[in-house]
Amino acid sequence: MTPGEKMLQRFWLCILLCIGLSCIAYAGDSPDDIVIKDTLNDDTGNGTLIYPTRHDFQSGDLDLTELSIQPVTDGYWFKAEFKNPIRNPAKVTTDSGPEPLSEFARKGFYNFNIDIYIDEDNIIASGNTFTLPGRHATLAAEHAWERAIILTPRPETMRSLLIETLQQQFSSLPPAEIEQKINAQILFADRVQVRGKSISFFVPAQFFNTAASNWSITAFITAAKLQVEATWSPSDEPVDADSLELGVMQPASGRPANQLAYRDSAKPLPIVDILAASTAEQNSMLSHNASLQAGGPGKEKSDHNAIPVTSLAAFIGAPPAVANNVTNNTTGNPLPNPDNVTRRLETLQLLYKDNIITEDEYHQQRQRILNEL
Amino acid sequence: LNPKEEAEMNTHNIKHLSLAIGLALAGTASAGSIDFTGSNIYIKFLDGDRLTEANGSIDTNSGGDQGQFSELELRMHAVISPQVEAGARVQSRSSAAYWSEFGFNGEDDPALPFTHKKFMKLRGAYVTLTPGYNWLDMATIGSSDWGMFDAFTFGKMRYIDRDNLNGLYFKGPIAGGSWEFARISLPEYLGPEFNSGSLSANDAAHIAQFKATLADTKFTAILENVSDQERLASDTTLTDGVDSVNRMRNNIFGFKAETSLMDSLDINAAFYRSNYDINNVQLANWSNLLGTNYNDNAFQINLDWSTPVDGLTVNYQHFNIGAGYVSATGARRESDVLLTEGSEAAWYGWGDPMWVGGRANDMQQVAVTIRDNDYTDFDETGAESSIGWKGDTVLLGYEVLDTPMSLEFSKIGYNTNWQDWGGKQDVFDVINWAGATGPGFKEDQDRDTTILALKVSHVFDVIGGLATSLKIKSVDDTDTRTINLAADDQKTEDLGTTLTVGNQLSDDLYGSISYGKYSRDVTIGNTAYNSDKDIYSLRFAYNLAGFEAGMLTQWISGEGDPNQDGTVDSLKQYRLKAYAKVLF
Repeated sequence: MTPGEKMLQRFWLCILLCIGLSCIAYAGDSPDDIVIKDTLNDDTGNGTLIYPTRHDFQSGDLDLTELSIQPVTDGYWFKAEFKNPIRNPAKVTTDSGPEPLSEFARKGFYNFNIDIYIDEDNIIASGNTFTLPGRHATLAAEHAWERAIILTPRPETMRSLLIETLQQQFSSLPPAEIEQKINAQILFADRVQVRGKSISFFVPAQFFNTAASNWSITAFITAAKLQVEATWSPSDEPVDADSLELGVMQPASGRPANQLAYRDSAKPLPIVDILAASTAEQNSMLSHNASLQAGGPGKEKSDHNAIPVTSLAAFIGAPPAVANNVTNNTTGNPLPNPDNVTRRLETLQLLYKDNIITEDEYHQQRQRILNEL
Repeated sequence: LNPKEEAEMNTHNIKHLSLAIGLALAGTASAGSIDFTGSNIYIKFLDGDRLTEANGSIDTNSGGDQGQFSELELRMHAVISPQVEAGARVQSRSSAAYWSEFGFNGEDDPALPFTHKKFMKLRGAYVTLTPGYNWLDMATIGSSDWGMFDAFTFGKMRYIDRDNLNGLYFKGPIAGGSWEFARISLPEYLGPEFNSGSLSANDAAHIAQFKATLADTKFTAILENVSDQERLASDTTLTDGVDSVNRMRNNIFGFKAETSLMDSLDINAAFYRSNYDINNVQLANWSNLLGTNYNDNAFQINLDWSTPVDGLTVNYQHFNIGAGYVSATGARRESDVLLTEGSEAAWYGWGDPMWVGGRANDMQQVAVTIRDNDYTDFDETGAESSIGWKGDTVLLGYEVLDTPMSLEFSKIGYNTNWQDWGGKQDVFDVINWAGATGPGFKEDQDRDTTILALKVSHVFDVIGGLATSLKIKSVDDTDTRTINLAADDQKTEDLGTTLTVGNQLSDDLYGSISYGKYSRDVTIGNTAYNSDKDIYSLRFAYNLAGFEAGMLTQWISGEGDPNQDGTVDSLKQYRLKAYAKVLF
């Protein structure tokens, strides 16, 4: 047998092995997939975002075309399709040092993050409306989320960075409690498979309270930044978790190689693509002062006078006093912490809705709180 | 000190103090007008047990597997105005013996390699303009890695630094697409016989690239001219300028197209034509470029198909890179122009005691004769020349039972299969140095290569996820060399199996172990030279905010005949590379 014939024999053996395994696999397929399509060629954020000039960020790389969810026995496989094939970090080197990117991004991709915020209960304003640090976006109260899934090239690093920063910032809270709260509602996916233009990631069933058919889904793409620079602070004050980039590449002026750029004079959100029915809807959602809307199939919402959690600090249950220690540079008086103000307004609203205070009292107190700003 | 000296000294002290304060403030508040993000300290720790001692080298490829060094890179970036931004890098270089040299040794000795001198040096500076004209999106003056162009035309040619090349770059819109133009100063080495003669400061490559989309098909057209001009010997008049003559000219035309034939089927193709002319150059026997004028082509077609069978993808590539395809400025490294994995990395550099263990990462292919692996360590991806390669690669990807797998089958022939240089000795008998730098053109060759690689991976749901991967790769290469002379027929069979198990030990620490078994059976005529080796690897990656560290340790053992002289030597090597990087 010639070497060529031997190789062909090995090749066909491998093919037979694959066919055999595929026959076993087909028995487990589920017909209940949820498929959400996204507009093609809308990877420009609010219409003004420009890719970095780096050669490995090309138009279409971050263009989400479809998000699907496949229920399996013990959880869900989320699958995102992109316009371009997903770039592999194995043969790409870092820009500082000769090591391949795969040393740091071990999941088979490196230039995007996917954020998925799931409203499980479909109760208006029940849940959270903030997004993770670095995203700078807010969800509409109608789609307030109970569960967030973050697909990022360095899930362990970003998860650890978020938790440790919060633990340092809110040192009065038990560290284990902070970690527990994050783990209960925010999952950094680490079982990831990349194939061609699609990437799949697994989320265990126990992470959710409801089945996928009930979910209202807000999902978006950001450009990934792999390196985490040391955070410098002139004082001993702990770093504010909201100031973290948490793996998200931010827009910058000019035409930088390693950051997104933008055409307009106003800096846009770092969100490159979001599940939306049309490009116009996406542009509108990502414009200034707008809230993100769910991009999935419409769900009926109910109103139970809920009040959403609007900040990460409130999410982990930080006491208002802890965060309210920043002073005004000119007067020396404490500056009102926006989170604290929000929580006081929320409490006030609750009191009013429960008829504990009158409408006049509500407006009077509301104005007093707002005057502090 | 007299009063004047004292006053001068005070002035200097104040300057130094101001600078120190300025730097300190800049360091603590990067949000100032100058952004230092990306600045870093890089520390490398090499350890090994090779018999020969490293001589101040800084990497495996240049002979060092022992020594430790520290380097500092200071990056500066400033937005001067909405239309102007500028940046620069200052980078130190060290020898691997930086720690043991105790801060001196060789700084004043011109005979010692530059790596001993611990220079802190300007490595790259650029200005980028975005003037807001409707015909010009941006212009860059200065250094870049020029990755915006194509590996077949103007590609990456890092030599330690990625931004050693400097030039002018312009980009603007045109008819629904874009145009790009660059004038890049030619490095002094980039001419026949690794030099560009006189007038080297005037030598340049000019490249224009046009991109457009028509009916959902993306088109790219590239025109490049590389010109190495020489002062005319007969021009001796000092007052009437200089008359020059072309020493080397390399024109390349490229055309690329890509489209989706259907939702799940993408196709792209690329064609390149190179014209290469040299004048008044009497080549010796080794050159990075061809011996005399030659024109040739390179092309490839790629199909990417996500089949209706769930989980099954098919990638196909047909490629044909002419033996005489010349792109003087093509990518020499950090690029991969072919789908195939290429040769077995574990046998890289076989015969050289430095490379007993080969490379720990897969190879990549570049479309230049002299690929560049200088200043690389054993854990880095190596480049190999694909000049003259032609053939097909099929890559099947499949996933079943949460187990992704891929299977590559490549059949490679060679445009360099010829007898007596194909009658073109004057063209090809100049790159015959088959050592570490180039593959060399051979006088007589009749070669083909078959590559088969199977990769399977699975994450077992124990101890937080046990990532397991198995790779089996065989490369069979036959070369009958001189036709009708059986005694020089060479057959090389490489077979390697690697099993790796990894685990995220904590949020900050990842570890993996792997075992690889590799055999290389070479037969020349009727004589066999067999080699076998086992490689045990231990890898860690550790990170904190602003800090990255990694380590790869390998233990190699076995026996073989690296010199192919009938003597079986024992193979034993330990090597370690660790690095730590702090990012500001």
